[in-house]
Amino acid sequence: MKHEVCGFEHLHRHTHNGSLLDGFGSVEEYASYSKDVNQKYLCITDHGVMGAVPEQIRQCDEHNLFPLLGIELYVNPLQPFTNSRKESTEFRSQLDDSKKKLFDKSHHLLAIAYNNQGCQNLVQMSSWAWIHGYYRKPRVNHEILMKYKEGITFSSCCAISEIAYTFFNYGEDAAYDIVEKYMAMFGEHFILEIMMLDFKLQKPYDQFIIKCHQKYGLKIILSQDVHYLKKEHSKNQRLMLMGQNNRTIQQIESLIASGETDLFELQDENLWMKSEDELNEKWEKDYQDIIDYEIYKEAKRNTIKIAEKSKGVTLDRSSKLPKLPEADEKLKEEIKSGFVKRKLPKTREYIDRIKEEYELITDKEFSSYFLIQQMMTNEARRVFPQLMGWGEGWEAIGPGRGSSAGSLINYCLEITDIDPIRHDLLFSRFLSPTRGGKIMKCEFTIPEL
Amino acid sequence: MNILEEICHKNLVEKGLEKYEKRLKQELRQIDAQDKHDYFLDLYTRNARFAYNEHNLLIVYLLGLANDFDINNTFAYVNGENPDIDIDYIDIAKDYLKNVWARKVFGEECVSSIGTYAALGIKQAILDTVKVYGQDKAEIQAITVKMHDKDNEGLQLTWDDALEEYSEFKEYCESNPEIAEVAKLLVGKNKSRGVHPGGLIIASSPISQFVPLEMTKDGIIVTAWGEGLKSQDLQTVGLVKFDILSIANIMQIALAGKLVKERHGLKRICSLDDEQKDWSDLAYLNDPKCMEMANKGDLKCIFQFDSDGIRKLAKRGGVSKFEDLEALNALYRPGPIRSLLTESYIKRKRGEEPYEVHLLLSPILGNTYGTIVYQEQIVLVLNKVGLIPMKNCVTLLKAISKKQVGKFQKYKEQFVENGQKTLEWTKEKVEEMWGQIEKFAKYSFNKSHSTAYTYVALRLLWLKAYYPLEFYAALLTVEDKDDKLKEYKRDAKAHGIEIQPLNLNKSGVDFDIVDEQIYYGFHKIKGIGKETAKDIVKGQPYKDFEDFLHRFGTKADAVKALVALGCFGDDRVNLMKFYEYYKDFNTKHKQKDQRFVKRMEKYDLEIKEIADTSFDEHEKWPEFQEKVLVKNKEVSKYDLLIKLKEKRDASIEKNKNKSIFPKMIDFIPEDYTLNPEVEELMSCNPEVAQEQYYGFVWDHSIEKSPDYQGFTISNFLVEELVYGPIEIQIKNINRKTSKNDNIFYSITGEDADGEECRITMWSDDYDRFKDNLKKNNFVRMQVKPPSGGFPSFLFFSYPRHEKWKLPPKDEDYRLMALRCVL
Repeated sequence: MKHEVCGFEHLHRHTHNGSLLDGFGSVEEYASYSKDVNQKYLCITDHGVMGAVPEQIRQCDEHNLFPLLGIELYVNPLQPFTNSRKESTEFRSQLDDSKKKLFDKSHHLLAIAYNNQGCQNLVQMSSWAWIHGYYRKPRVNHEILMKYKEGITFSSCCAISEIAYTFFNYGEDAAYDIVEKYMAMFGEHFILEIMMLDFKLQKPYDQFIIKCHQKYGLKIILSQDVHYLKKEHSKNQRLMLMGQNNRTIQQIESLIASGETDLFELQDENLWMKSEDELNEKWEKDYQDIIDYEIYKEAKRNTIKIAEKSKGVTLDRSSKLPKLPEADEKLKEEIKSGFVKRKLPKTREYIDRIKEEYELITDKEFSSYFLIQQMMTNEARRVFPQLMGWGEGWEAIGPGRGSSAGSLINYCLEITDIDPIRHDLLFSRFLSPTRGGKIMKCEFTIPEL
Repeated sequence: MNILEEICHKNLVEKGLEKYEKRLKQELRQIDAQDKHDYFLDLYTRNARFAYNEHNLLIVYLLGLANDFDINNTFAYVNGENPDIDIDYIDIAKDYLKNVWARKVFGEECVSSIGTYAALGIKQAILDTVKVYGQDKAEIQAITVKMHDKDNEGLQLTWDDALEEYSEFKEYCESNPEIAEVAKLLVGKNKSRGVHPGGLIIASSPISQFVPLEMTKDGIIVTAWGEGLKSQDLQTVGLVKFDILSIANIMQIALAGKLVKERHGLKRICSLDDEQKDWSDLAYLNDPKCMEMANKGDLKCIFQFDSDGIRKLAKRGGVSKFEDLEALNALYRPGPIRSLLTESYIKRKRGEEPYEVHLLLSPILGNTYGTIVYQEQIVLVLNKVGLIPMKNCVTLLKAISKKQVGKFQKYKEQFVENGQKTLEWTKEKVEEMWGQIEKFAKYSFNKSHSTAYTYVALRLLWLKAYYPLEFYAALLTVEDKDDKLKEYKRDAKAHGIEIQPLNLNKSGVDFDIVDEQIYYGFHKIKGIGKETAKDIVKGQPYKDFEDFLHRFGTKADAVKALVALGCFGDDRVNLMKFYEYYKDFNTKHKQKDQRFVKRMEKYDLEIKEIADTSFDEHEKWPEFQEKVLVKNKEVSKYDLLIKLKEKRDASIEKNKNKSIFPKMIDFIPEDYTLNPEVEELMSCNPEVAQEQYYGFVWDHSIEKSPDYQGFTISNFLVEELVYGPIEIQIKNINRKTSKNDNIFYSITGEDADGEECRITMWSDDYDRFKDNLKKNNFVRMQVKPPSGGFPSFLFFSYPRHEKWKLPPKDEDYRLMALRCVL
């Protein structure tokens, strides 16, 4: 059958960079293949962490894609605020058995930032989960979702979501309650998500989600839960998981032969970055009876709407280096007194070298960085005799290491103990005008008149 | 001044904006760095106009390209690479800076450790894949063990490079295509999270606002984004890393220096008269005695020069100055060795390979005999020969080493053209030079790092040369790897310093120098912590075992170790039995003790009730003449107090005399049995105890032979002999048949270091020496290394046409038995 081209953007995608032990594709692979499957956006939603974001932004810059920043959160309504993994375990041990079972679940919830505030909230939520909500997985509870919901689109996610868990264990009515709860929490920014997988729970779950769509009129999207780039990588992902779980192909085969079906290593084979045509194929083959054609098309179109809504989120890239007051002047003074203290010759060579280095450091606004390094080495020398009960202090620090020994200013500030000129060491190997620090934008994007 | 600068300056003056001069210079430098002169000049000559000043550039305003400019705002920019100051601190200072100081100065929330992701390397990827496929790993392991995952810069080797550099790996991949294909895709996949060893982020505001944080299992908060060689994720959000690192050698230098000063009454080491710190007189960098040692390859125990291979190289190439060691440090790395750069350097240095250095290049390449060892040299050659601006040379170096032809092609042309003028060479010759650069750029090393670490090495070498006793004491104290301790102990011995085993009354907490000898420290014994070690030392000297138990106590780990190591004599089983009994008595004694203390407390209380005084104040007692009724009798308080004191004194006396401590003699019941594990440890060969508590066998049994001369396998390698002696204990002998049906014997043996080796011997030699070739015998034999692997040797034999040289059997010293002392 011939399909109308609706457009489709992948909004649910895992990388090996962030989703360790699960994602197989790399950001770079996804980015460079995006044009081939007609993607204008690159949305990454790793499990419980936003580890791949910087790489995502770099790759989007390189491949002319819009980055969409997201995460697949782990949610458990019972998760309390704790300060360590141990506290979570202790909390669990005080629960009765039925609550324990509930506490053990880490439900999935997809979250995509649609403005900068949302991006910051995603960052804060994932940090909270790791630092205060860790039980087997980094998790958040509903209160945290409420606290940080601003600027974020939440999607009902896969068959391991809170909604799915309720649906399969407590029935349809109970699941409607959860959907309503999410609607109350997130309002119009709560959307529904269907997938076309072979996973046995997927079809009944999709059917329920479609009912919700019809009942509440919520926006619905189609997603693919991408874990690797191409169809053939399914095998590689499985082998990777076996390797990481220390199992061999033979062991897995014998487990299958003994009737084991629920093997973590054997993930769904549909988790590649499908093109719209490939999606259509799957719909025709397995999902015609499950997803109404109109809903199917709408779910595809909605991915583009969500992508457009979430476009333009940027990270604050400005320098976060602590700025010391009057840093340039202070640095100059320190260099001067260091030059004298080190008894350096006032030759052209030394003076020019100091000037060259100083100019570059101040141009690039790194004066504070050098001063902080100097504070550190001074402090180490000051505190060493106290910590050890002997010594004079200078013992605490080695003569130098790496390219920093190439800086005469480092030598003057007593950060290093090596005079670079004596050993023909170059400053440019350490800090170069073409690569380092602040690089002025010189290319114009606005058209000339 | 170039044209652009001229125009800008002219307009600056015309517009009366001279006060913006500094900004203009800054922008011009940026344009200069990015080679954008022509771009701006082109816009200017075309009379281009923009609707607004997009990046807020003063230059754009001055050239009339836009009409707005805001001096109060910076120009638009992107963040490039940050400078990276790595500093080695002594551990304790490092921990303090990271965990206390930085948090105090910049605020808890503005400081964070850095998370890292460990990715699968080529070796791990292929090993994992072989395992998943359920195949035997032996074959591939034999290949991967020789491979290096990382290049000179610490970056991951690519799959293609690995195929190119390791032919065995290539062969394996060709014969196992499926595994190779799967493994190739696995390379670079993240497999685990970790913490950057020294990296610290310090920011101007709470870090959680712009970077997701994670918490490790151990409760360390780290960034979810990495920063380091592999990824520069934190830079992209403007965060700067501070690298606070640590190497143990800094502590070795400090500690040895402290010992030297204490023991020799010195104020400073290698210091200029007016300097306030050691090592300020750089003469130590070229100290003749140090150079002499280095020249002989006597660099064992020296940071960066400890391995057999680099010592052999030093010996072969010769060392006469600082720069020689600096170069060796850079050259003894997989890349330069494989590409034969190292070999070429050594040959030239030895005068075995002719070379010429152009006068212009002599200041740059002279010290390394015309070979390109350092990145700094390449940068300078590009600049001096090719007249390529310095600012572009580093970027160019990166492009060349990554083989990014597109990025360096135009510079190559410039180099070849200018080189013909600067060097007055033919085009072909300059091209050849460029070819050398292209070939070696990848392997060239960061000179500043090499320089810095050679400083560290030479401080250690100087200490080893002039104050070996203090040097080894510090070295051993700081070292915590067992096999290293053993190696260092042997090296000390070779330098006339015998390390003494643990001694109850002479050993200190660490490796201390007592009576001009180094004694093993209590703290270095497995199972004895620093505090326990201090407690032991506090009580020294101990008269005997009983005295030790009385005064130190019965801490099981310490007592067991000391007994097992023979600190109280050889009667170890009986001592342990005594100890086990003693422990029981000690417990009972403690109970009695407690009862006694309670009794004393009761006396104290009673006396307080009578007169509100204490036993110590009895000179005040005569004041208490007041009478009180006791059992219907009138008594003075004074009398009561005296009576109480007498009772109390008697009690103390009684307690003193009634020693319940058991005496060793006649103490242990004959039928008493020890806990079987302890029994086993105490009754077996002392070597078992040494292995357990020192981590190595103190003396290999071969060393106890009066004939032993110290020929180890490792000596053999460093000396680089065509043939020479090794002394081994024979472990096994196998009779084998070669492809040509010749009989030979394969002998496996172990040297005093515990190093295993294999010696191949022809049957005629075997027949001649077979009386001495018995399992567990000690022998010295003359061997030669085959060109292939180490440590497998050929027994020195005469080729057929020289058989006439073979001496009679009793004068044939190619194999000699060493006497065995039990």
